[in-house]
Amino acid sequence: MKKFKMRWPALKMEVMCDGISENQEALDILVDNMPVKAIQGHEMVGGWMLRARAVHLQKVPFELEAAQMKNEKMKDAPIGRVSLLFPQGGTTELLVKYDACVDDRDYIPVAQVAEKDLEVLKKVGRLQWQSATRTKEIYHVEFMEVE
Amino acid sequence: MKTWQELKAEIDRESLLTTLEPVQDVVDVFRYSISKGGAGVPNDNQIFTTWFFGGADVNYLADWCYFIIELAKKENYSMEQLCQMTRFWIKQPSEFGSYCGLRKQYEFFQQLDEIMDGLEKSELVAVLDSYRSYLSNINVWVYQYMPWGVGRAFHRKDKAYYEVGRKLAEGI
Amino acid sequence: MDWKTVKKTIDEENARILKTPPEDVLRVFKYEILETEGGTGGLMLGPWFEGATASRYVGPYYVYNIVKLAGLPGYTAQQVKEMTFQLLPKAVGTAKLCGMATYAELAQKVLDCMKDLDTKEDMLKLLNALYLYGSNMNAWIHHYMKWGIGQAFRIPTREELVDMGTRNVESFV
Repeated sequence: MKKFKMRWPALKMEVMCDGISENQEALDILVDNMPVKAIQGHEMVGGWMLRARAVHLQKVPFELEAAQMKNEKMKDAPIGRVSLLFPQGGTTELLVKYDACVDDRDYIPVAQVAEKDLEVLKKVGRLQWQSATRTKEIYHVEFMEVE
Repeated sequence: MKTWQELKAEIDRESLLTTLEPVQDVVDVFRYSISKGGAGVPNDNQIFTTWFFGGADVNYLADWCYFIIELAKKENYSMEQLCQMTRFWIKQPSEFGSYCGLRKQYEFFQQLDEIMDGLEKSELVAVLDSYRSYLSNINVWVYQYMPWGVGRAFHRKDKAYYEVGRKLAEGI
Repeated sequence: MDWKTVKKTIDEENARILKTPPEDVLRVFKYEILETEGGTGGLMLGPWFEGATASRYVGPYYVYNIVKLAGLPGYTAQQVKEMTFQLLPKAVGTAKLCGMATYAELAQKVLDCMKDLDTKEDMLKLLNALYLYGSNMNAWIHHYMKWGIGQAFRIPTREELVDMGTRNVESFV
């Protein structure tokens, strides 16, 4: 299964993400597009989740049918879950659950942040929350395949 | 009139420019509170309602594109119908977005509107896919600049909050 | 559930809320109560922004636009069904998370009934009931939304913006 890294250069932090048994084809497409850079955002309703609202897939378009993919409610997902929302063609949203959340909407789970990196993920989450609600600091997130 | 390839290329260029750098229209409206089309001026001269309606609509514009592309995959939608759906579903919120100051996205839609009837399905889908990418960038920057911290003044309340409040109000 | 029963439920709820504020709207927009515990960090601006928009879109945008197209020749019952299933679920999910429980429940019942409907006529009767209900919900949400927040965000004039530019040297940062 494919692996990738999420890195936040301004924070000098990174986490490793491993594929999961679900939606492997979806993860393959995401990784085949890497490296990708995006603006990091935060979820404002569903709970403690990082949310990148525009992850551009410029090499390999996302052409899997929605019905082909397995959904999961974020509130039921483990902390560290990486999921896609409305992936299609050249764009997807990407969310990462870093602490408790109440979000009962469907997302497409594709990866899991490594156990050893969950504390780092939480730190990134808290800093992004500060950005969203106070400082407005702009953080880039980079996605890179790991061989 | 541009060809669809020229329009798509222009939208893609703008998407690339605004993936890591702010969309200027969003900076104007959300960072500098400029009312470009007059939105908010008659409503007590405030920009909040422009943010609330215009900013929110952009996210849904991207979803309209998503829906049309999904439906276009089915055999039972003619090109005439897809053009109708595109005009019915996208034109009004896109135009409203322009009134709210998010001008470039409407310029793109107007150009698509001019050439749409002469396109094949795959060509319309290609342009909508690019348009959706650009709209997603606008959404990113709307969320970046929206003053979410204001929400700290409106914290979620629970039963205990109102029970205490009720006790305190008893003497009134 | 039979679609006529669902329509009757929507019509009754619609008649009730014509002059009575819906409880969900009062909870979320007036009293800042959200039973789902949505609103990251307890902040209500997210549920207001996304909940109001999702609610506006379910009825007055999505259902309205489906109904409008369905009225044109050439759109089949199958297409009306497909459009409904494509457009509604995401926004209904957001409306539900943002506390519009009744609205989301009724919209979900409409989606469930639509699976078994075969004629455009029956579909449109059901969808029109939801459209009207959604329009009323939209009105109440926008009645109770705390627009006064806007007073903190004045629109600057051109002259003020130019003057601000000349004052940049005064800035501490």
